[in-house]
Amino acid sequence: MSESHPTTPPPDREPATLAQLTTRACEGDEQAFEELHRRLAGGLRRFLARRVGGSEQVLDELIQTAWVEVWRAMRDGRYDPERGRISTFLYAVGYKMVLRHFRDLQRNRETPEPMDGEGRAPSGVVERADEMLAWCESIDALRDCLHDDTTPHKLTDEERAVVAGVVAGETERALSNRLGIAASTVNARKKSAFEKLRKGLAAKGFERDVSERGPFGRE
Amino acid sequence: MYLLGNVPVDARQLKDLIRHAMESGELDDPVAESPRGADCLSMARLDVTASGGLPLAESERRHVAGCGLCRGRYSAFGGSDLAARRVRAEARGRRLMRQWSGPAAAAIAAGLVLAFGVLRGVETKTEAVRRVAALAPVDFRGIPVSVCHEPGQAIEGARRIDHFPATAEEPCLIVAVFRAWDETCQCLLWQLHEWDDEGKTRAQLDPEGPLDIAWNVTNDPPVEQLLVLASSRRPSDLPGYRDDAVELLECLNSKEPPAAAQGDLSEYASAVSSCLPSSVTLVQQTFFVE
Repeated sequence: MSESHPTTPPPDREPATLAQLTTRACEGDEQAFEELHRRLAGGLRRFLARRVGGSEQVLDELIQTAWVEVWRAMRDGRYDPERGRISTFLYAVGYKMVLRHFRDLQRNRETPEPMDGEGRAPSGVVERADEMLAWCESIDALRDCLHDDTTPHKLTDEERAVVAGVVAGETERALSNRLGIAASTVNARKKSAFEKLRKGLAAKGFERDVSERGPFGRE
Repeated sequence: MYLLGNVPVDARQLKDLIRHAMESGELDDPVAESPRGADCLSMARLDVTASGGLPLAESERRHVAGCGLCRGRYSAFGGSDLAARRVRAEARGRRLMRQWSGPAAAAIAAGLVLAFGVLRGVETKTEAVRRVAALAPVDFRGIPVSVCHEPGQAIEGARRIDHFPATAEEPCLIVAVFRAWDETCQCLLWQLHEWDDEGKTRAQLDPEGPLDIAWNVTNDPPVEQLLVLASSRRPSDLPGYRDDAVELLECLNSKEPPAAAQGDLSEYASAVSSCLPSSVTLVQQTFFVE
């Protein structure tokens, strides 16, 4: 009887879901963490490359630092899988790394953290884990609203296409040309999609607030 | 305005949040990368040795030096092994080279183009397509704001939408002014970025995250263009809507191109500065559409 490779699942078993792997990784299962890394690393690289560009070395450094932050957050119990999908949490960490990278560039530094010659301090992007998880909850809620076909506020395919174009920065005229619909229809689809998303978020318990924020009030 | 957890969301912020939702969803696409080898060190082992400053065994050190995944992780944990140091030393060397070669190339290019610019005096398509060494963003004074350039995907023919994420360390208001290619006049013109279809030209920039400035660009001709970000703490310093910005645009476009127009693009930012109150901070970013 031949032995199967420990990392290869038996062929008759469904591969573990990201949620299952996340739970196991949070319990200290390194193989589960490595499987998460295998599945999500390509997406993280694509995202960071698009946002940061630059040299492969800078990109690699950001990616590895992001993964180390995620691993530490799991190990220390600062990441709660109940409050955010692992892909969203990884994205949030990566996004914070991007912010830090841009700020470092402004200070004429290329690496994300100061180096003292003997190593680098932890990047600390997950120090305020509760805030980050709250942000993840918001993003996950919106992800559900965008893709949930069972809700009464579900988006039509055309609305999804318009929303994707709008957030990518396309003008209504460009969207009109690309999608082959009138510019006024693009505008109507955009408004109805945003309203549906707001209603969807409200249905998930996110409350409407009339308060203003910032020193300048509502811009 | 809406509150999402601790995140207030108005129309623009909802748009940003949708972008985050879409981008984070893309991470779920299964793209395997950097499979971990049987000899790779565990995360716990890398953490203990790198963070704790403990020495690696000789075999481990050899593996880390030769394995991109383990070397990257070891370095990210703060490891100061020789192999990791060598990578950093190279990076510092390259950075130093860039720091010196960038300004030198810019100075040489500026000198060459200045000679042409003085002789011709008028900015034409031919002159505009001369490539000049890109300058790093320059913060002239005041508010710590930065902006970068992310080339987009082609949407039709030579056109595409590029993104310019702007970040700030404190809340402020910004206006994005592009010196961009205008197809009608076949020349570079100052243009104001509008944030919505109602012609809003002023936006609030918060420390929570970058504000995306999307700009429709063309690579025909492949011309170097410029974004100048004007920021202020006072709303009265910056035009709020397209109609309020007419005066600013007239001021900008009525100015003769600086003598060193094709070589030293910081001169353009100075032109913007002269059309705005002195309390406004300017940051610039050149971009080249190929």
